[in-house]
Amino acid sequence: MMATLEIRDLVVSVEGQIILNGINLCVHSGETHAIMGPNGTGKSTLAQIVMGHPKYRVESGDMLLNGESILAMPVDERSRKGLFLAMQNPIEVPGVTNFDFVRSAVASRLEKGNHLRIGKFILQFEDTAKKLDMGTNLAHRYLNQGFSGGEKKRNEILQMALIKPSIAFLDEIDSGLDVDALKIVGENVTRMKSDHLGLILITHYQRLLDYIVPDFVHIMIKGNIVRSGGKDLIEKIDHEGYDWLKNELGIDELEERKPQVSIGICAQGAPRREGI
Amino acid sequence: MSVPAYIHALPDMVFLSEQETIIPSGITFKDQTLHIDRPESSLIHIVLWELSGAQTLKISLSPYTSVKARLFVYYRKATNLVLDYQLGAQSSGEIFQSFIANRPCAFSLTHQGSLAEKAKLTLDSLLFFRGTSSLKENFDLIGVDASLMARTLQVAYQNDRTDRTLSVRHQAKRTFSDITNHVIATERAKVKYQVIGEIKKGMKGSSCSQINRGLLMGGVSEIESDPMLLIDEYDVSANHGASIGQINEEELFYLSSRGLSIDVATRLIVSSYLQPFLDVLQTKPLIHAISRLFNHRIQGGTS
Repeated sequence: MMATLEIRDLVVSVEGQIILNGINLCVHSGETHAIMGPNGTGKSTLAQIVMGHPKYRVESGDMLLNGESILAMPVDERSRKGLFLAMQNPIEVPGVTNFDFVRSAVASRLEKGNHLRIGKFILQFEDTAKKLDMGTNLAHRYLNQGFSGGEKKRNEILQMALIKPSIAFLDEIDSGLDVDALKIVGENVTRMKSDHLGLILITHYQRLLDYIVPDFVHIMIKGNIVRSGGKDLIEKIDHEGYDWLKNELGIDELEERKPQVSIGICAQGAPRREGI
Repeated sequence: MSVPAYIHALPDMVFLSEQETIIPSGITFKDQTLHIDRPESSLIHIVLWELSGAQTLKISLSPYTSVKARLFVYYRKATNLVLDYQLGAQSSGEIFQSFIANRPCAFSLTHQGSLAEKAKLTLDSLLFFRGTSSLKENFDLIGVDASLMARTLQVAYQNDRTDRTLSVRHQAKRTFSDITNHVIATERAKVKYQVIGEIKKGMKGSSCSQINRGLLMGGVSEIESDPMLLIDEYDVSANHGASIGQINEEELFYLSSRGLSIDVATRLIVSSYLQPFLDVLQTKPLIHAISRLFNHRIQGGTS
């Protein structure tokens, strides 16, 4: 099914502080978008707010999936409507096996009265795990528990392959991956690309985009998309960083710096006692 | 209440009730002591059926023996049970034990264990008490290199009250203990537990660790945890952690983000507390019986 995610003038806050400042983005299935930007500019927040993380508050704007606002939808409904987020730090859930989890996720999408054909699903699970070089015991291992960073990321891709979303955010899926694992993930995601899947890759580095080639590249700074373009932007960022763009747009470097965090009363400027 | 079919079907079973005593070969039962002296590692089922009044059971493992045991304690009247594990030198016990009441009544458990040199005890306990229960547990690691791994899950609901004190005393060098306590409390249940890890002076190279996790599932349930380490030696490692709260928001978000409703995600997370115990049980009818009991209690049932 063709799908479109449209984000309109989205303003988002957390604990009273604005962190997304009027984002606009439109992604159709069949397209691959890359979102790049310095640390702390709201890239991961954008992915989490689209998925419905309860920590964030939408102040204004809208998010539409196939023309329907998802603002009031609970997280699970957004997922069943076709949204997916491969997380930067997947949660460990001891006691829940990978297989039970993914089976429950896939079963949640079936129409009432339909049942998952377990035998067929086991074969699909094993085949996907094999393609991602995940080992034979993955099904019985507890969800992400004791996984290396790379295994956790590959497990996110495995879930994506079996759940088959229509719009998927991959949040720094390349972090924690060595060269070989990156190649495996890149090849698997590329294999999944189709007219039925829209991808939004959040990354800091060109290396992921060597494997999964984007159609559009967006740069986020200070909670907004400040530049969109094609693949040529990636190379420029890789060589020159973001300073050229900040200079071009007149973004104050000083404002970019995060506030310093004080630890302990000494750091807060407590008066020094004699002899210390 | 009649003995369920899944109990009847258990192989190699010690069955003790007021009406009947069954003791398989390789085990003797004298002076309230089950003496297990089997040359090879074997799986033994021990059922204490419909206990009431004052009861004592000692389980003794001869040196150099290795035993896997599943102990099922069923009670329906006020019961005062003393359960004593004595592990001889270099013996090894993997013991799963469950305490199950199907109606509210007072239950008092004095649980003690003594581990000789290089003895190793792995103890998985499921506590399905009803009513008011009181536990005093003392494990003494008296031999060098003795090791205790104890994992407990309690599900308390309705008006259940539990007061539990668990103490592990390292009385020899290079002794090891690893304690995990999980408590799930629903409705108006109140659970209070104190866990004490004690390393005596001179017991160098010992390691003592404990994790206590309480899950409050709505209602006005209460869990009070008091972890304590009493360390009188420098050359040791010791740590404890305790948390009490509702289901982690990040876990719920992760599971929901794959399409699972909050109800299904919650059920999956709560069931995950039980799963490691089911993995130990392995026998399907037992797994089904324990799962059914767990789910009924989590949902406020009365099974």
